[in-house]
Amino acid sequence: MTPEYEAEYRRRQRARAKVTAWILGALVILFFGIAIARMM
Amino acid sequence: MSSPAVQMTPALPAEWRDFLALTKPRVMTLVVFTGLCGLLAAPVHIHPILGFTAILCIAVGAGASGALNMWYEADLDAHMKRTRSRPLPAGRMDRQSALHFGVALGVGSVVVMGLAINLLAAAILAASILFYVLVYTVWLKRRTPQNIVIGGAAGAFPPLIGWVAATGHIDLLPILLFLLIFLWTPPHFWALSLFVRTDYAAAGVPMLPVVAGVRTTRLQVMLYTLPMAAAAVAPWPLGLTGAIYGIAASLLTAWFVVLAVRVGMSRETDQALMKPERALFKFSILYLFALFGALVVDRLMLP
Repeated sequence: MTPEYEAEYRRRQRARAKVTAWILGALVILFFGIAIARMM
Repeated sequence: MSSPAVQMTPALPAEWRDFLALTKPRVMTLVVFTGLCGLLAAPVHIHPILGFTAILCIAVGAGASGALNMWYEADLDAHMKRTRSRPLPAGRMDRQSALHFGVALGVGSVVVMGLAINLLAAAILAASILFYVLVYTVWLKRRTPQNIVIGGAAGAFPPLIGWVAATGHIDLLPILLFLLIFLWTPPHFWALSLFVRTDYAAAGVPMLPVVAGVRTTRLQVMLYTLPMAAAAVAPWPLGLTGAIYGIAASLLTAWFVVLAVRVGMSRETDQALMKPERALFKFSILYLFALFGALVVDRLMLP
C-alpha cells in the first residue's frame, strides 16, 4: 500500500466516521423530541 | 488476472457521498413533497416533531428503495448512459455495502414509523418499499413492457402514508391522490423512455417503445392521460377540496392533456428531435409539484 493510497483510505474513513457521528447525534435529538411530543 | 500486488491492496471504502447517491436524492424530493402534502392536507393537526419524523421516515424509506434498486440493477445501470456513473456500475462501491445500506435504511424507517407514528403508516411504508424492490425491480422491470404501469404504484404511496401518519386511517382523498400518481406514472415515464429508448434497448429492458414501438407508446401516453385527468380533477366535484385546488387542477391538467396529445400526434422518430416528448416529461414533474402544492394551499384556506 503506497503512502498516498493509505492517506486516501484514512481520509475516507474519517469522513464516513464524521457523517455517521452527526447522524447518530441527530437521531438522539430526534428520539428525545419524539418522546416529549408523544407525552404531550 | 490480478497480480499479487493488487490482491494485497484493500479496496478503498466508498465515499459517504456515494451512499447518499444510492438514495436517489432527486427522486426523493418528489416523494418527500407528495408525502408532506398528504400530511398537510389531512384534516387533523399533528405535532410538528411527529410530522417531521413521519416525513423523514418516508424519505428514508424511499432512499432504501433507491439503494436496493441500484444494488439489484448494477448490471443494467452499467449499460445505460443515464445511469453508468452511479456508484456501483462506476466501481466506487461494492454491492454488499449497497445491500446492507438499503436494508438498514428500510428496516430503520419502518421501525421508527411504527414506534413514533402509527402501525398502519409503518405497514404501508413497508409495503411500498417491498413493492418497489420485489414487484417492480426484481419481478416486472425485466419481464414486461407494463413494468412501470404496475411499478408506478410504488411511487404513489407517499401521500397516502403522509395522510395515514396524521389521521391513523385511510380516506377517499388520499386514495384519489394515490390513483393520480399511479396514473401519472405511465405518461411521465413513457415520455422519457421515448427519447432514451436506445439506452433501454441497449440494456435489454423491455420498455414499451422498445417492445411495442414508438407509435403504440405515443397512443398509450394519450390513453393513460385521460383517467389521470379524471383522478386529478375528481376531488373538486366530489366535495373533497375547494375551488383553489379545482381550478388549479383543471388548468394544469388541461395543459398536460394538450402536451400528451402533441406527443400522440407526433411522427418524429429521431430521438434527438423529440421535442413534444421532452416537453411532456419536463411538464409532468412540474405538474405534480404544482397540483399537490395547490391541494395544500386549498386545505389551508378552508375555514
